[in-house]
Amino acid sequence: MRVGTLTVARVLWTASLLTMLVAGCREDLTAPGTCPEYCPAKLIDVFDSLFVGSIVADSAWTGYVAPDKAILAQAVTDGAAVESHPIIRFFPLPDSLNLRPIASIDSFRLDILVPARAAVSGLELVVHRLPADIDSTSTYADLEPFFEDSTQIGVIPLPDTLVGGVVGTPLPGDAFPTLAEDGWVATVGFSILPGPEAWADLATMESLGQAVLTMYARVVQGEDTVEASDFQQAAFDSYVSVDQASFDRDILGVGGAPSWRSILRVDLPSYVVDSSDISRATLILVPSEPILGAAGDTLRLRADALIDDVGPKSPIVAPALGIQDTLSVGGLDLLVGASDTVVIDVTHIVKPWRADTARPHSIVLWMVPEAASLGQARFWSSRHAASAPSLAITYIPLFPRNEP
Amino acid sequence: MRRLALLLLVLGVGASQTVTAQSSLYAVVGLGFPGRPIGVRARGMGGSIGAVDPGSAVNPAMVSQLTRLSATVSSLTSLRSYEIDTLSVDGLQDTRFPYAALAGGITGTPVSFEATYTSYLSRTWDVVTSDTVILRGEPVAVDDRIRSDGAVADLRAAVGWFISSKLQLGAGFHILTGSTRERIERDYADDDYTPLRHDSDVSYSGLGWSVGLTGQLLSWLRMGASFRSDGHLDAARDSVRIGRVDLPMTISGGFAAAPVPGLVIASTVMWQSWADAQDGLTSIGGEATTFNTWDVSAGLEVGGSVGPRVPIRLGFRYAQLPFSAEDDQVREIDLSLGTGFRFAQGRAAFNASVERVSRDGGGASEDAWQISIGLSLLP
Repeated sequence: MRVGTLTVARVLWTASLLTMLVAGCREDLTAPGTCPEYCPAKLIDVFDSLFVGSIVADSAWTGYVAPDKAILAQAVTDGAAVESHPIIRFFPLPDSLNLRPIASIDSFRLDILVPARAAVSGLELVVHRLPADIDSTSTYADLEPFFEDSTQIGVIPLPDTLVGGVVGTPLPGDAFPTLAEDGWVATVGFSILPGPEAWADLATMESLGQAVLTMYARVVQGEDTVEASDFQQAAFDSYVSVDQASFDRDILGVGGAPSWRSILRVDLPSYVVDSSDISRATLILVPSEPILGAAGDTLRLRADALIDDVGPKSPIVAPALGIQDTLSVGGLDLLVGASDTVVIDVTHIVKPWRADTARPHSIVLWMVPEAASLGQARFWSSRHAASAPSLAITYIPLFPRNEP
Repeated sequence: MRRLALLLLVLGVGASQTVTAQSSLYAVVGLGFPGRPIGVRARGMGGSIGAVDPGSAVNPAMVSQLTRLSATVSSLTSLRSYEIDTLSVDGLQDTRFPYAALAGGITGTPVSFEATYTSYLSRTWDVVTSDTVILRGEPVAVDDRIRSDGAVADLRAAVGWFISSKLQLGAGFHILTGSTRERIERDYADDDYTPLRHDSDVSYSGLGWSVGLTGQLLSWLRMGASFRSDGHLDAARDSVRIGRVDLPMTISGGFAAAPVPGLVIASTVMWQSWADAQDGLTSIGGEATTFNTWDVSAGLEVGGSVGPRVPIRLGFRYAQLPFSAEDDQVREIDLSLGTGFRFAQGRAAFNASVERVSRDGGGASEDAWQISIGLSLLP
């Protein structure tokens, strides 16, 4: 009887042990707290502070991207403060088609890609014939005489429904009367109508959306002539514009063409940079004048970190394939004409400084895409005490204040 | 060698686990939740036999009873619920390994030794809260989670001297050591704010000593008493010292009586000067009120060597906790039931206990079922 009792007990013990082992695999400690009594001592305290004077040095530099290297060329109406004309030189057209001499040119067709445009009804791009030798040294003054009625060779209407896409127009066969003398090189320039708020962006070679010029001709075949065609892409594209007013050293310029960048050096207390987690950091900039650019246009201002701060040639920590920009982190749209204080997120720049002590405490401001228009923002620098840039930081100290 | 290898294997199994004590709502307060240096048999008796139990680490003089090589490990599973004001939480569960020991006698001498691991302070918790904070003039909803996983362990090396059946002495040297991995998390409802994820390691260190005596004063009565001093506890976060706090003295005494064969009645009383920890507490444990504590337990064991082969153990315990979020000291009442049996020709033993624990005070209350299992090998 005693043996039987012991056997039953052992079975129960074995079952209990197995149950315990299974139960022990599960752990559920997570529980809601009631603060402050039953919260851990290491509470999460968050602080908001405005660090005036935290930008201790800043400077603006230009020459990064020239108009002929930009991914867009903006056409802005004549007479505007930022009037500009896209210009294109095509690769030489052939003087024969499939070894058949050209007897006559019937017509041309010009196709261009327009990614963005003003929200103005009845926009038209007016096509002008330009000298064949335009290049990156051509200036507004050089070409301004060619943007007149006598050189107009076509009009490309931009449908009001067009958000972005390819548009084109036929050009007459005599659109380029000196084509043969010019070595079969065709060049065009664009004006835009109507009114002071008209503008449109044209894609360029740098964006792989360059213009295409198609030639329709009659060629000699035996004793007859037949229709034939060929096309060429742009060999050079850029835009010429009225010169912008310069600014003095108290100003931080961003954008324009050739593009400007401004680099700001930051000095924050170590208890923020080294001993806290930064939840949000925003850079506050005061414009010295309204945002320059085509009326109704918006400019994309970016703030990014530098890999190393070596002055104007400092390499930028590239945004991760635009992901940060998509999340509106570090990017901000500026409306042309606005003069409100600009607040741009720089959390992605300041937050890593605690972990990456080698990274320079510098912020670069630039426009994306660079030099795509004359649009430009001008902010007061740290040398203008009343409106100097500042940083607003929301941070959480990682060590309780009673710890050293 | 085979016996030694088996012992090491058993101890190794215990050491490979997370060796922290059970969690409690009250582990969040002060230095944490104090551990109990007792084995599973003593737990089944409410801790009442602790002062005269060779299977517990309360009285170093009881080491003198451990003349055979032995190894012990135990686990404790806790199923908890608590209430704070209108907040009621249940379904909390965790398993820990709060006690392990390796002991033996030195051949040809009246001296025995023991090395024990016990939990000294549990600092394991996982707390989530939701709140709304004002940031840049706007209300922003936040979800916080603060986790701590770890404990301060008590590693004791003790020797016991069997002078006579009426008097045995013992002394122990204690190393208090351990660490906690702490993580704080915050998520904002507003995407303009980046979430917080921060880990840190806090290490703890301290030294202590203990002395004790015990004796079989009558053939049916054993009594014992001990004194322990733990000095202070130093804490460092990520290797940077953050504070020092005084630890308590402990005075304990108790008896076990066997007035009739097959019946053991026991009681232990323990007092600890935890109020000494008030100074410096903030640097490690945050704001809390500290109290000296009493721990009184009584229990009995029926059967075992005489009568039923499987003993039944019962116990009652009243204890005070040293840390409270308010001026109201937290109290704990335990009712326990235990049993055990030997097997393998007496070379191994299983012990088990179930405790119903009710804690109350400091503006909260907590109930728990605690299930302990112990395995001892005497090769």
